[in-house]
Amino acid sequence: MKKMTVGKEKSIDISFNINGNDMTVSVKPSESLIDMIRRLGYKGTKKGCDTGDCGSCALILDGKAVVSCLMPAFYADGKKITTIEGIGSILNPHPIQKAFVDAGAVQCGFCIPGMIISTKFLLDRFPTPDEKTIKHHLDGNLCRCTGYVKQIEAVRLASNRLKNTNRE
Amino acid sequence: MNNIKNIYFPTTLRDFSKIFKKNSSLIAGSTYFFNANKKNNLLNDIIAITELPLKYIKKDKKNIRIGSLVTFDDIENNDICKDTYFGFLSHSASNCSSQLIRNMATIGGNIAHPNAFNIMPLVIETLNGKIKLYDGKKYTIMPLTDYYNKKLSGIITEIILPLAYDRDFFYFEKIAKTSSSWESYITFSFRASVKNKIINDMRLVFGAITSMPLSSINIEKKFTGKEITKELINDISKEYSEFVYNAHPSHKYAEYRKNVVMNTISEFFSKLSKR
Amino acid sequence: MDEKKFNVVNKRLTKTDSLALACGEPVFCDDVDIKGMLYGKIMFSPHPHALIKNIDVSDALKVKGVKTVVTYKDIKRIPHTTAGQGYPEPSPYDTYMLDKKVRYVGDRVCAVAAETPEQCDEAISKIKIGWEILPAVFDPFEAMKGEVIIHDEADSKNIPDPKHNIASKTDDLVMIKNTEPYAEADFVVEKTYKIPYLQHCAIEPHTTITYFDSYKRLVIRSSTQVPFHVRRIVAQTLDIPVKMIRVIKPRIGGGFGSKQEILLEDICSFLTLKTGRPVKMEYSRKDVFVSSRTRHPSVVTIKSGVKKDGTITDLSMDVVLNTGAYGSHALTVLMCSGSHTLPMYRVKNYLKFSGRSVYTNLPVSGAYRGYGATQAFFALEAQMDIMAEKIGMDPVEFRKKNYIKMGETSPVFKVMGEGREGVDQSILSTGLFEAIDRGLKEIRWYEKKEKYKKLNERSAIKYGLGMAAMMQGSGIAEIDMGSATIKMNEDGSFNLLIGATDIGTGSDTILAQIAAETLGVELSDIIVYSSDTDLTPFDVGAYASSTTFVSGGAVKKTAEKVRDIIIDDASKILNEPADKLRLENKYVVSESGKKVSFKEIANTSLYYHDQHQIIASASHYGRTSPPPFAAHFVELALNTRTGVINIINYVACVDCGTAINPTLAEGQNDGAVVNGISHSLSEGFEISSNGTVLNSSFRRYRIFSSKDIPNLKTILIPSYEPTGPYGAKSVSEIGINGPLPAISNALYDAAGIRLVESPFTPDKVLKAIEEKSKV
Repeated sequence: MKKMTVGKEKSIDISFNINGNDMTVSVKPSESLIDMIRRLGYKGTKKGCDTGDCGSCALILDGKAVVSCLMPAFYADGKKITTIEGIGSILNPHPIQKAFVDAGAVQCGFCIPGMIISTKFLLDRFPTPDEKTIKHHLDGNLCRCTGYVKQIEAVRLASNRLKNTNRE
Repeated sequence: MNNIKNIYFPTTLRDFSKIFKKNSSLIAGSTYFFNANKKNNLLNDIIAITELPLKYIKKDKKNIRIGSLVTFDDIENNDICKDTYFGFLSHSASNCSSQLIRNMATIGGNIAHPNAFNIMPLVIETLNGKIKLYDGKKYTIMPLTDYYNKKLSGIITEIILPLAYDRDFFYFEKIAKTSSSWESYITFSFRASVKNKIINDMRLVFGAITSMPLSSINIEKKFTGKEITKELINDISKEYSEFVYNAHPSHKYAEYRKNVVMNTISEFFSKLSKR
Repeated sequence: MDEKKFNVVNKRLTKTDSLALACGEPVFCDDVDIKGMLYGKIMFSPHPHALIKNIDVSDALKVKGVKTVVTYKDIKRIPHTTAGQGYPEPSPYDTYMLDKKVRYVGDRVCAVAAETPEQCDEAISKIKIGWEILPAVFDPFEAMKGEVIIHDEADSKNIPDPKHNIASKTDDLVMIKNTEPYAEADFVVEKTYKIPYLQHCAIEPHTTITYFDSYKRLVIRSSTQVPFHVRRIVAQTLDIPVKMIRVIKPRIGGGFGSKQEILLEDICSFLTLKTGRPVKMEYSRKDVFVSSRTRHPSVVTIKSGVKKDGTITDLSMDVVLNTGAYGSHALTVLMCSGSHTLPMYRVKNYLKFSGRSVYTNLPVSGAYRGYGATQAFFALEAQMDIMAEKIGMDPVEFRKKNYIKMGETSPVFKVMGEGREGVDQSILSTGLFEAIDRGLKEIRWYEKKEKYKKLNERSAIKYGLGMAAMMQGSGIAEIDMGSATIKMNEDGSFNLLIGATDIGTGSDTILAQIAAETLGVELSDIIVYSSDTDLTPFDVGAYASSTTFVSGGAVKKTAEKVRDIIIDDASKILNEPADKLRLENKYVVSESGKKVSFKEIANTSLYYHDQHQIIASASHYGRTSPPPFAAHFVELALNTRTGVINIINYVACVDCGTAINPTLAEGQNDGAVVNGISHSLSEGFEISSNGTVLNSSFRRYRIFSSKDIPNLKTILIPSYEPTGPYGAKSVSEIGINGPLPAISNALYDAAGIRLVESPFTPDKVLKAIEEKSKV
């Protein structure tokens, strides 16, 4: 049975893989996953509400899109994390990121990393989703700038483009 | 939470039994526990139950058994849940909050922390389902009301839903301000079976009114075996509307609920009479 | 309407920062780690109205990691406004950085700086306060009676009537002809319309980081819409010179008006001054709901008269706004509710506007997209439908008959300004009528009305259509100013330095498009840097829909100046007179066929001969505020069993003049419309009997998610505004004004219920249906 013992500094050591890199980090039991992620320098994941309602803190944990503000950092132990930085970068953007850019779906951009995480999760399991499925999968990512109109178009565009590429 | 000494991740129920005490803190999907407790410095140890073998959806001759670590998203997309009860399980699970929460929230957690807006308790009650509880020593199967009333400690391992109702008529509706709300004005979770306009069996459960699912065995008994006529529809809608109103008459939506229940029960039985 | 051929303007070019944002680049305020940074937190008031009799922070100071605790005793008392407006701000000076009195649940009590946020919380919990609880008032009409006085302090300024809690007031008799008001009317309608407290819900909470740079200057890095106003007001409240302060605006995660305010910058700066360390303060989501700013809850009463032939004879609008505990934007929002709405209609005999912004012990209202026009259009556009029905006229025809036309003016423009007198203007561009016709066609208005009339007779789901038309402004005439500087680099590229504030709107991109158009280059040849008070010239900031029209005007002027210098330099190089030269594809070409490239001109100017930096600056302010126009059409289904409204189709046709970037303009409109629909169906503060906001979270205050939106179509209606850069007006606010009245009108069409209090939630709708069926 796995057991984490809280050490003298009131910390636990955890190990996980993030965006392809193995890391060992010291965390406090009360530290949330998003606080740890941002503390490590992955600033793309945002904190919009800290109650799991806005989706800005979404990241992929062992293949599932989750809200990192509701999870303790120690839950990351032994897991594989993908943040927005792991999906693509400005030098090598993922087709989903490109689709959001091209569809005009990025205004202030604060909700976008979370939106793209949810989109990745959606398109990984349903490569050609209909509008109802798209809306259902993005309903945890709040946006006040775009009204979601161009974001839904972006997901469709990404779905079309991904059909013709080998990008994961 | 910084005063805790150990966090356990048992992988078998036997391991779990070795460390579980009556007031142990359990954390599963983490949609509730962590945020509610991260500033609580009175906690001792935490048992994270995520590694237990409780992630399964099985169907045998008599029942569907769903492990308590199954998430709402799992249920929504599972073939058994989509095909049985005309998709009632899948449809009701899809009404839970938002996708990101559905990916994390376990049905066990949804049952273990009673709240007016929780969906799983409604589903279990509608199907006369049962839960299996492990207290570290023995397993007990019990109806939901027993678990809530007796405030038993332990870990819910699975829910058991009888297949006897597979061909019944189901209705699930959550009325809220927006689509991915956690809250709602009222939630309807109905089941009924009708033959030649006679009500064989019915189970009408209301959510969002009280912290436990709300239903009336009396009204159900009264109208079971009766023929659906215009008069019955009138009577039963009126009775239910009074019943739901009286469950929480001082609530700001009490009048609204009275009206909506009246309208909805009426429509429900009208539809049933045409089957 | 002129047919203009543009190369860069009016093109759907990619917003220049989109890729960085889509890849999670660390460009927002909180995305930096500064060595030695402390966390600052505010202790908020638990009481709606109370005096601090005594305050003991000694135990708080003993908490490990705490560096300072500041109370009203540590700060010089300087009355000011937090409103991010030009000086002299037209809002009351009724706020103090920290005060001995608290005026709402969520007001500032004191502040702490410590090594970690947890230490701040611990320190706050150990602060001991002896309170004298004062009676509180929460309803504006009660407050006006004056039994409870919220601002009784002697040193506040610019409050018209503190004894009756009036933070601003106006009585504008815009027009009166030689008849008795309402004498000529065949029908008189008087109705009152209300909206509750609403919050912007920008997804990024307010965040500010302050620190001393190596030269002992105070640097403020903040999520703000108004960097220059921040600099001035922080200098004022800290009593330090402006030259000591630098404000840098990083990327902002939305503002919508909530960040047109000095909310954290002053107190955060003070903590840095006291500790000498960098300090970060960020609002939690709950803090944003309660302690930032909101939309003014409103009670708008319209009394209007109409003749059987469709003439509007009289119109009197009275607005009562709840400004909460402080009067930020109290006068200007009030004035805009009249000045940005009443000019829409031609009124024959009598036009009056009156209003009050009233103090209550509740959260503070401020600037929010729409800025008073949203509240007033709810009333005005619903009233128009009611009047049309009274005289048996089609509501579309009724409106068309009475709308302001091209070339016309309205007496409202001259009489009603924003704190100062208004500015007379005529309509020089309008796509209003085209917007209406286009929208009617797109939603198939008449065909569906016909269909639904029959269908509703036998259906439990009632279908209805409603419309509303609206205007806004483009900057504040004679007041809002922006400037730009452009310098040329040796490869023929340009740096564009602008004070204008991109809060996610894409203003960096569209202002670069304007510069590129003028200079005849591509968007990628313009390198934009914005909103840094040390490096970019002045701009009032992002509000009043001013950036395209005002800052764009400045950019165009500046680019023209640079263009003239380039031509002048070219004329020397080519030895041709300047008037024979023109710009073409990054060359200067003469009529005789000789040409020289931008690159060569730049190199020559920097290195070879008569060396100088090709650079120019210019400023611009609007002499007028030409209104954009829009017409909205909504088709909805009303479930009479549950009271739930389902919006099926929503068509928003908007005339913003030339859309500098159509994709961005559409995006602005989409967002504004969805925000407005969300207001209409879901949003509103729930407030307890002691002034506490009960739903201060995204869980309980529901804004629309992707699953809630209707089939929304934004259609840009081209027009050309001669006073705007390349014909542009504005687009950022107007869309939010349509949904409330359009939906109210559609509900009436569907089921004969007239809802005049938002949000139109299922319980209100069902109640209205039940009441109607009893009649």
